[in-house]
Amino acid sequence: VAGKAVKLTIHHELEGEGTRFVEAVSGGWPKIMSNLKSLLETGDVAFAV
Amino acid sequence: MVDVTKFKPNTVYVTYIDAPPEKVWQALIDPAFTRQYFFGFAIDVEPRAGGAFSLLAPDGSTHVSGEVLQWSPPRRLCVTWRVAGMKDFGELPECLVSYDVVQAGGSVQLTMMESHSWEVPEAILQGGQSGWPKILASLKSLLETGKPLSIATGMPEGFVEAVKKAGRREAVAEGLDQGVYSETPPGISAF
Repeated sequence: VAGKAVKLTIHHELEGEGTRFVEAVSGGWPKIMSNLKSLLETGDVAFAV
Repeated sequence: MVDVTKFKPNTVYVTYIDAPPEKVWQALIDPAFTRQYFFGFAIDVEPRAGGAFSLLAPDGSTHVSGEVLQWSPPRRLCVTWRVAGMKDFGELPECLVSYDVVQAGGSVQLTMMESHSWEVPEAILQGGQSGWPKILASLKSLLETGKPLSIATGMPEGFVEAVKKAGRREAVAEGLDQGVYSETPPGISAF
């Protein structure tokens, strides 16, 4: 708990070079986590899937 | 002009915001917005490449100063970033901070990249990796709910000590070729 908000951390490890790692991880998790945050704060998702 | 090819992204943050690109852009460059989600700092930016950029603390002092490298509303902003508000930061090399705003379906993908031209000690990277998620999560909340997050501030443990130590080493290395970059994967934050 940080202030009145909550810090949620996900660790996702995989093998691979830097830029490909970024592509692999930044595609899915940001959408999922952004939607989770929106759902909790506004009752609706930010990114329709 | 800064040679941007010497900079590699160390910290990348990607988030999706339910707002139009123009609104996200405004939140990035309007002090009335940044004061609410960026630890109370007010952005002051000249709307052109080559213009001056700064972040002003609530007391009016300059916390970060730099130069606009790319100004492409509402798609991309890239600035040089030199921390001026902490005594020990003045001796460290400046970094680059960029924002990319991309339409993604009905929402916007916002990507922040913090790029460095030298092998930055992990404890210093931790400063950005603890700060950016707070800042950008609060920006997302502000745009979607009208209210920023209430988040405790403060630098991670060992941060100031690492800056002091690196500042001394950089002073010694000044003038030497520093074209060596770490191949370690960038830190990923995604919320």
